[in-house]
Amino acid sequence: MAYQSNTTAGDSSGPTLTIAIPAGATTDWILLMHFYGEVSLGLTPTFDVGTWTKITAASGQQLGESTDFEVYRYWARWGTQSGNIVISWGGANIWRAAACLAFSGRLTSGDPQDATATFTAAGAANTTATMNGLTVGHASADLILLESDVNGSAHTGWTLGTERVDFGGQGIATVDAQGSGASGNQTVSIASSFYTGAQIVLQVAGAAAAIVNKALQARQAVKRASTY
Amino acid sequence: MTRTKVAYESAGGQVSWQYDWDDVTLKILQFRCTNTTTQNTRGTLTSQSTGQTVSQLVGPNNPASPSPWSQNVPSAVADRFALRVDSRGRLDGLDHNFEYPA
Repeated sequence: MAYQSNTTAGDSSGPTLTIAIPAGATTDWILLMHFYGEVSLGLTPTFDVGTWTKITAASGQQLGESTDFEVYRYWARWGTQSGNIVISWGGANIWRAAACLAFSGRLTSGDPQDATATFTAAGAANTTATMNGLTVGHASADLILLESDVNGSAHTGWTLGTERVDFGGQGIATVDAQGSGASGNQTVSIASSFYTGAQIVLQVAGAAAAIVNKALQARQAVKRASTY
Repeated sequence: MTRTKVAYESAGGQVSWQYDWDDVTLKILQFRCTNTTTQNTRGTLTSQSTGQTVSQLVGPNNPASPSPWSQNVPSAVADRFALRVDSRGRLDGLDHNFEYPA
């Protein structure tokens, strides 16, 4: 009950982008959308299917580079929709790429994140991209490491996780059943490029209930002890 | 000229970093940030030619009335942040790193 599947689309120019819904996506699965576009200051992506909430985004002009890019990450709690998702941003013809990842067994209401996502926007000729760590609140979390760069890098040497996406300069790895506590800063090797790096964590369903059950068990144990 | 980088954005607010440089001398003049989130952010500028850095931690602000942080780069330091024009006529010579939360 964790990472299930992914789809990718783009790594080409166009005024919109159509991406398939990941295989098996069904009610209460969490979908994570990662969208990259080469443009300066000001895309507002919209989606024709699903209700998407922004997790992180970055945009802006990169001094010294001929190409700038923006990157957006969203989550959606899925229903019964199938087929494709069309991403739109007002019709500008831009270079773009996207990846959509599906997770099962996550929280079925509210924000599915277990901690605030971390984010780094690095404007330098790096060959190592860093994804800053966060503090996972509950065990059995899904930890997601994301890197996005302008040079279309292939990704190698993830220091944590299993690579799920290596497409058009977008690299994503996941860790199933991440324990609680600090996830640590993680890195991946890329071509020399400026980049963004992020860590996102999804909470397992039933974690809160498990805490309640432990409290209940403790109260029952005290009651039994006092009975004897 | 000014460069703006929206370093982080979510439903909970935005972190926007900016820096200005003089068009004639190509020296960095000012570095500033507006943080409308509930957590810290750190911005760092690094001169590629000298390794000189300017780094600043900016605390959370009230999203309803964010108070921007700004710093004039001291003239002695600004000399070490002089930008270059590369062979293709592009401004070059500065790296940045923006982190959230910091």
